[in-house]
Amino acid sequence: MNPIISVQGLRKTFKVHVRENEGLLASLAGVFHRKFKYITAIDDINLEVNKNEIRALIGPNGAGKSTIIKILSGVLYPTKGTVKVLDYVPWKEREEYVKRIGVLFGQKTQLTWELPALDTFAMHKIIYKIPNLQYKENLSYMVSIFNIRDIIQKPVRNLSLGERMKCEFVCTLLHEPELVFLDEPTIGLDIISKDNVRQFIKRVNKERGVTFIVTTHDLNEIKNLCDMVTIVNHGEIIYNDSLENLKVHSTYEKTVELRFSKPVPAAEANTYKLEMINPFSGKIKIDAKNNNFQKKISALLIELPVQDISIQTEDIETIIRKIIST
Amino acid sequence: MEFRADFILGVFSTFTFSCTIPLVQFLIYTRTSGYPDWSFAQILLFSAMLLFWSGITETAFGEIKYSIQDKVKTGSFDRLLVLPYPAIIMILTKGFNYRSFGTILAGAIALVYSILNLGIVVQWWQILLFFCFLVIGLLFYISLLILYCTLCLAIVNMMRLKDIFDKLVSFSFYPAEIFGGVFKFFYLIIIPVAVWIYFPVQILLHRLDIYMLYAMLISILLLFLSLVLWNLRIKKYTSAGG
Repeated sequence: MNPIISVQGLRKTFKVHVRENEGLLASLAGVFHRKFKYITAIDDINLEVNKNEIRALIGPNGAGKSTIIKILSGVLYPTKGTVKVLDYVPWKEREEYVKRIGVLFGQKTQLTWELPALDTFAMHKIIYKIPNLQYKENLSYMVSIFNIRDIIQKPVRNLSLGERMKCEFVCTLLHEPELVFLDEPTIGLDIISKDNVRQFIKRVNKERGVTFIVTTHDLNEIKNLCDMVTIVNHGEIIYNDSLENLKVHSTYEKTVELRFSKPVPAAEANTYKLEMINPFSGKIKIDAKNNNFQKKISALLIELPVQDISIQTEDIETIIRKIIST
Repeated sequence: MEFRADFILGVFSTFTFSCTIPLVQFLIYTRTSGYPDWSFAQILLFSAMLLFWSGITETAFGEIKYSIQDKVKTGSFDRLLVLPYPAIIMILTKGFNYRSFGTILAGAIALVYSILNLGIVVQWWQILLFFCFLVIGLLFYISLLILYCTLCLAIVNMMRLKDIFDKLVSFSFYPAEIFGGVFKFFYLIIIPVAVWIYFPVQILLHRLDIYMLYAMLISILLLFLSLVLWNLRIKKYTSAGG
């Protein structure tokens, strides 16, 4: 399959002012003599994304996620490297290229604050030269999924963050882009709104074959939405594979949680190295690769008044944290 | 209601304020020795053109000087770069300020009154040349706005840039005859702010001169130069943090 995004050896450096000391004198000194340094925001990024994927681009703050998105969407020029998205070089053929993509910056609205969202949609219709019938169909499709028929007629400044974000999505997808970049699309949203947005992305991906690149800090979003994960740290890609394969990085450590029918004395809990949550429940971490795993579980079940037991493997969050920290 | 009230009040207040400008010119003219080579009726025509021109530029581009700095500082300029048009076009279209419509209206009324008052018989070539200079004037103004936006993109935070721009524009509020030597040379040729008000009025008064041609050429050249500088600067755009 031909990838719709192909990135090779991508690098972006920024020239930034260095201030060695704080305070008024240092500020005044900076007027006469400024020191600069070059920082590499991203380096040697190689990436391929196939059509119809929902790809998560994750990493800690300042890792370089937004810089990658901005280069891929044609906002920034890279320092080095080659990029082909939908057969375009984004920053060279920007005006033609952006007709085929959608970009949603979670913290930078595209809606006109004083006007109803419907007016911004109408403006997008003109900007993207969307035929009348296509505009009506798309608007009706997305308005019905989000159930925002009344909302789009209110001035944007009167909408809640969740309602506004739904309108942002409509605006981003009105011109039927094949590829959509979502930069922290659910930032600040409550769980219901987040769920609505996720369902929307899934549905549009499935029904219309739109490819999504999502940057997020919300790991639930990744679990519920994405097939592929790219982890960026210090400007480099440190993991680039499926969500499923991420589990290869997990250890055999299991967390065993026990609930007791009567209080367990602290001395007895210490014998089994149990970390007590309260007198009626406790947990212990056991390495499943160890041969004693079965024996340890049996001992706990026999010796302690166990009423309920749950065994958990390492979750995605822990695995990702581990990958980033190493 | 809030928008209708704002529109009506905005148009009314700018119209009323604009009507006082010819009065100020009257006071200056009668309390001083006036402007050399300009009668009071001609100065009224100049004031009318000033009103009309200010109304056009403020209505079409009034908000740009405020919004561009804000967009660059906050990073919302990124949004313009993901639209399928040249970013500079998108910026120029975002300058619309409906409140200044009253100034255009006041300027147009004053212009017609002044022409009738002077008893000028306007020929077809004058109308043609007048509108030609309106277009050239707009191109020159747009060039300066593009340079302004380019500087905003480069410097990011420069509060005084707008004041410098406004001071430069304010040189056009007076006839060339009050400037001498180098200033006049700059006014007519180097930075030909004369294209906005002085030359159109000179055309209506049948006073053509060769400087008009120079100014026209300089304006077109400046437009190309500003676009080249803008395109160079946009390649170095760094956006703002998340």
